[in-house]
Amino acid sequence: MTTANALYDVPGPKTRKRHRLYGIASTVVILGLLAWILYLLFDTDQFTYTKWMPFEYKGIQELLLRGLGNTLKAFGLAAVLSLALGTLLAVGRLSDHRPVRWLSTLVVEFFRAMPVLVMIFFIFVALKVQPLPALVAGLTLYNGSVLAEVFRSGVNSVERGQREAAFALGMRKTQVMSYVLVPQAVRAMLPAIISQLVVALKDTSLGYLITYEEFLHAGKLIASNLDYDLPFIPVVMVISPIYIGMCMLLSWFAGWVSRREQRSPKTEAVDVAPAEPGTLLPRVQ
Amino acid sequence: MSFGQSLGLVVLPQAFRSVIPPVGSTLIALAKNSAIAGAFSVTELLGTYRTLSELGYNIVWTFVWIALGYLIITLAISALFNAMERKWGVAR
Repeated sequence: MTTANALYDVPGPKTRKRHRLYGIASTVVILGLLAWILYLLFDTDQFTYTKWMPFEYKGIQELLLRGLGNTLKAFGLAAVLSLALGTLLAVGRLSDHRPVRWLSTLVVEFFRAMPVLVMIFFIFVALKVQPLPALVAGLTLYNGSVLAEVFRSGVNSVERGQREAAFALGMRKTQVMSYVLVPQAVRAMLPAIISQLVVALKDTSLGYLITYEEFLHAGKLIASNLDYDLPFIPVVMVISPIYIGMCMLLSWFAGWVSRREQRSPKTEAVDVAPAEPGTLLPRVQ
Repeated sequence: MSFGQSLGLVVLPQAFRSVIPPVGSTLIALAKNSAIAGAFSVTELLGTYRTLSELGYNIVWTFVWIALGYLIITLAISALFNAMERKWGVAR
């Protein structure tokens, strides 16, 4: 008996019939909900020409593209910098020197406990920094600290024997780290790293709150235009698939990397965790 | 055992034990995300900085106190869940 059916009996004909009934009933309910939403959308005239007309204009397409470019710029900078900061803090937390370890623990715990928006606002309002550097710095501090924890737990999760064997071979600590532990840890931690980068990508939309002209900001500009009869829902319908698509692209990239790693003969001995797609819902952490 | 019994007596008690850490981190994330409301003119902890800076208080110190407030909230949640994890969590 496998664990899957250890807890429940295998359904008989009566139960199967009941399950089919449940399935049909819930499908009907879901279809009804969808129909209701569609009815509401049509009822409030969301599909009129006036509301969709703005997307035909070149100026507005360029505005959206510029916003998308700014979003990607902020994300690229934040991703690279937070990976660097994460590495630095993880090295600090794994250090043999107690003061270094304490300092990095303090930094990591502080920035992990702080809402990313508080950091962005502090840098933007109190330190009077331009929107882009403020956004990138806030995202970097937060995601860097989270990534530091990811890296650290990754290094610690490598089997103890690996570290001991490497030390027994006479390697120094730096060698043990860079030749033995980190390469294995990064492969094991790739899914967690990518889902943190997905979080960073979604958090760039917070730049809208500090007047950084990113994708959401461009969307808001179009949506609040009276000439097009306030096309809020059309704008959401255009913008959200693009955000979802970017996140899916990132998850797909993670899957591709981990598949490539699995095929590589160099890592045959290492168990590579399959990449999970990060959650696609707007989750700001 | 019936479905209700196996769910209530076997599955859920075990699931509850292993689900403590992820629920804790989700709740902490939720508490932190409430800061977004402050940017939409809801007067919560982050939103108070506007009022305080209008009253002429030093902006940097305002943010220090706001940060302290968030630290207390998130560390309290994480302490609570650590205690629960120690009491009921799955021993590893």
